[in-house]
Amino acid sequence: MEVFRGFVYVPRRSWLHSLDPRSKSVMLLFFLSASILLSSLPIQLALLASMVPLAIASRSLHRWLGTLRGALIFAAVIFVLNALMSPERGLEYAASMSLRFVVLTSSFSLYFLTTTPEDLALALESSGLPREYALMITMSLRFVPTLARDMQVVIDAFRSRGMRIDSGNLMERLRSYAAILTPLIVFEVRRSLMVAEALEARAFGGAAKPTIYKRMRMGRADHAFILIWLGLLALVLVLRARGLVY
Amino acid sequence: MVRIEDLHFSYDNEVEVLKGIDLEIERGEIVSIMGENGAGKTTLIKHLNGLLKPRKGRVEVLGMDTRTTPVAKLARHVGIVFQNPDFQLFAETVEDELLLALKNFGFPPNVAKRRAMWAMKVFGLEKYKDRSPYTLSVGERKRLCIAAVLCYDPDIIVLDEPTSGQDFLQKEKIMEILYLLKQQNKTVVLVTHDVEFVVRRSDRVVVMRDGRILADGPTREVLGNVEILKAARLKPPQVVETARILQVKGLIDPQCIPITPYELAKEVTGGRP
Repeated sequence: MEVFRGFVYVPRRSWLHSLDPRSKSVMLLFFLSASILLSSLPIQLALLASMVPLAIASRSLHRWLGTLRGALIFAAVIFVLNALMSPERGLEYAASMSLRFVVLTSSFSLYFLTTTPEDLALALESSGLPREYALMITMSLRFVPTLARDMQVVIDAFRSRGMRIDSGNLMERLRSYAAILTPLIVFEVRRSLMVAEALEARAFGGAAKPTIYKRMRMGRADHAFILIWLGLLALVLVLRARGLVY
Repeated sequence: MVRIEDLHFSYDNEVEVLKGIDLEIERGEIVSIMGENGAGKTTLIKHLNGLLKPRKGRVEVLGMDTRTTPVAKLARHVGIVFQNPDFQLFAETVEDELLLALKNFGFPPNVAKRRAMWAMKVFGLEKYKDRSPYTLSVGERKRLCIAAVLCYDPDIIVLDEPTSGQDFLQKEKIMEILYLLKQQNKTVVLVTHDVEFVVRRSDRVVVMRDGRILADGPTREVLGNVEILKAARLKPPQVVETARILQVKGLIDPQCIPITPYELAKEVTGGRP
């Protein structure tokens, strides 16, 4: 459950928080594309390391490290799978693949820790995405912590009836996971219907064109920020094309 | 039966939810834990079967330390029914739902079947035997959750908000079952806001506020004390309120604390029932 907390907005006062969500998206874009385009181990390490000062500057280091910890568990699985499935590519390859996963996860974490879902929705809308889709994205983010909480309640109820989750052979474990998912899925489907009704009751999707309460405005800091990340992205592309980095 | 000493707990090491709880519960008692939302009631009961472990202090159930005893073992003795029925139904049919825990605790198949049948009859669910639990109404689902715990006969039964979403008749039914459990010398812990329910069935009331115990005593003493109720943001039972009005008007003895309609009527009529 700890992992989810790394993807939920935490109100802090920092310049990264106050930036326009669109400029932060450019930063996210840089991390994602650099990490996917380049696959060497030093590069992935450098990308991860460069997020540390950003996390410190946004005063979210603690939460961000929490994401890192959570991601490492999955990264270990990726490492083992890669090492087993393609041993001819070596351990360094397996390490960089698993590290790539960590970079992707932690860059998203950095973005969501510093951007409110409302701002994100506004940014998406103002970049031309239809309202329904923007809402869909922000709602799914908004319900991540709720889902985590629901899951804990279900697990508690399950264990209270004498069932064990983390014991037995693989089949038994799979069966208990399936049992836990049943109430969760039923309830979340019911909840989504309730949310839909609540939205309609508040005139979502009505005929009138909705007005926007908060205007997005980019300042000089935003422009500088965007330029830096675009510059870095261009650098990556050029160096990659020349075969200088991989 | 249950012994809680200086229990402290926090979910994230930041905010303490329980701030030093001392509580002892004897066999055969019906104890109600009351208090406003966020007072720590549900957190407290999750300590009774070891779902949560104390950060400081200790919890002992039937002589077992919850910190070192597995939940699966404690669950055999402490049956907890949580508030939201939707999160506690795992099986495909009502009967399977009841058999789930019975099988887990190693009841022989024929005994398990008999017990499941008994529980369905008591809660009026036998006509739904082969239906999916999710096709039942909210009230029925809630009763199914209670039945699923009672069927394996735990020594301590913990019910979180058992009366919410139940109509008058079903409430009466739950009350009857509490009475039955008391006859069998079972220990019952209720978490509820329903003062009218508590006043009729509970032996003892524990009032919580902000992670601490504000009051702990016989139901009459606690629910008859308007100051405590006010501090815990609970509405006094109607009989207590009516008695207060009559006392202010000087119509009944200012010292008496009637909590049932019958007692109040007796006061008003001057001892003639």
